[in-house]
Amino acid sequence: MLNSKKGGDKIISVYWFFILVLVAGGVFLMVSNFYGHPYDVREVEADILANQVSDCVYYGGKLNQNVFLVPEQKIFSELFANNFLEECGFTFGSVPEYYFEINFYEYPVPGNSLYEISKGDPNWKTDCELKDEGYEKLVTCVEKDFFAKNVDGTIYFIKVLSMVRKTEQNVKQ
Amino acid sequence: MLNNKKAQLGETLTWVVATILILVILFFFVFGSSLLGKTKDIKVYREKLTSISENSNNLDYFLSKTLYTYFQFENSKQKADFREILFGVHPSEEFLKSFDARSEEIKKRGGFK
Repeated sequence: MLNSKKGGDKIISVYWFFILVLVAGGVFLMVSNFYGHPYDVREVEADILANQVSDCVYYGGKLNQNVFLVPEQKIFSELFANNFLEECGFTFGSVPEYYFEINFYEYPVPGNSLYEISKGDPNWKTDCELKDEGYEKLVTCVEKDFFAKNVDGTIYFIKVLSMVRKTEQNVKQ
Repeated sequence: MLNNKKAQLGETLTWVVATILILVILFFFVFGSSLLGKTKDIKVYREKLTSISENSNNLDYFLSKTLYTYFQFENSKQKADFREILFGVHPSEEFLKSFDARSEEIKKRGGFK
């Protein structure tokens, strides 16, 4: 009778190791699940980009006069649009991860865009509309607008679109 | 000898139930950790941190710019027309509340009358 009880103890100790491995595997899965998801801060980043870009155009109630080639005739400056990054102190880097677009419209009835400043890769614009499965692996878009008054009293309706890609750093692959 | 086998069977049954219980609890914890991982989307789960949306009464950067324009109008008719156009672009109740809430602050900050 005593011999049978000894055999029973050996079987249970093997089972203990099995349970240990099971629980350890579960803990490993939990930790890798949680830390495998990166933080997605792209919308905040796109908001900040839109803020900084719009500040360069309109700040403290004053429209940046460099936007105009001939302010009196309301002719916009292509040179300012082309050199916007240098004029406003932005650095996008060699790999395009950002895109922004500023459009000026008439007030009170906005028709076609009077003036556009855009920098980055515009091919991502179509991804902004997509909400299919896996859309978070595309770009994050933010669209803002505001009204700006020039010194001569002209009001412009300005729309700012900013996009951040950076999917490798922000989305679980 | 038959009696010994009954006792062993009783112990084994206890462990089978315990194993199933451990598996179920582990499954829920793993599922929970996966859900927690998804809360790392700052925009969706921590909206108050971002607070730069027109649905928030906190700092609205672009509303401030529009308010600077609004307070530069000289007479009340121009202001009323501007408000009408502005609320046509942003018709939500939250925007109206944000507009009213921020107006006093911008008026003071910009030194407008």
